[in-house]
Amino acid sequence: MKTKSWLLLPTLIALLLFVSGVSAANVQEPLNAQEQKVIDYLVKDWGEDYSVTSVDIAMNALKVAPSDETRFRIGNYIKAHPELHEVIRRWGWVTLVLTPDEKLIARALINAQRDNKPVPSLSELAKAVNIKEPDVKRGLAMLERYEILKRDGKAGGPGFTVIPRYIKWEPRLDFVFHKVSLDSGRQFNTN
Amino acid sequence: MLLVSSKFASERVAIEDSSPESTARIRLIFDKGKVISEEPASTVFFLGGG
Repeated sequence: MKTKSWLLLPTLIALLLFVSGVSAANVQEPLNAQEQKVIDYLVKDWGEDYSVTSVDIAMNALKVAPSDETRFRIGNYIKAHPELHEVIRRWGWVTLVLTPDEKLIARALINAQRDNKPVPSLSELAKAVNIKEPDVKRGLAMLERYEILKRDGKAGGPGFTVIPRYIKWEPRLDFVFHKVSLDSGRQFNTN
Repeated sequence: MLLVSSKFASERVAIEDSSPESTARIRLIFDKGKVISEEPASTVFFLGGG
């Protein structure tokens, strides 16, 4: 069989473009100076007074404008860099990157799935976590970006299932929070 | 709790927490090591340790 050499070049180019696209999705751009400051704050704070402080608290302490996108970029960096601190390796990255609301949304879904109960609807999640529905949607989007939840058209409720690793999450701290606020203004999470 | 009764024993400390088996939020306020406020009122907590 004669090889159609004129087909090889476009095929090779298409393959290279595909590979490059896959890599771009998994490799994060470097953090900007403000995001790096948040990382530096956390690395210094973790371990002090049993601290497992989360990204949202650090952003607030540094007066970084609240932004899910910024928080995700910093959290994703922590997820990808366990060598940054023993706290990440010991307690897991999840508890460090999620807000209390996101942890409670995750727990409501995990508990239902674990106990073979119907998946809570958006309004039921909002009621259970005591937040508004748009905030539940934001939380679900964040949990999906971190690959804790997966879209599933067959699932009830808002249409997500929990990735199996997170159904039984102890002894990691994943979805636990103990947020401490002092009169001085200092806030941190403890383990 | 250890911090509340040791390092922060002379301070007012608020702790936001949650029931481990549900999504209920818990808020405790300590002043000088003693609890002065608990929400919800049905919160059960243990003080002590060795």
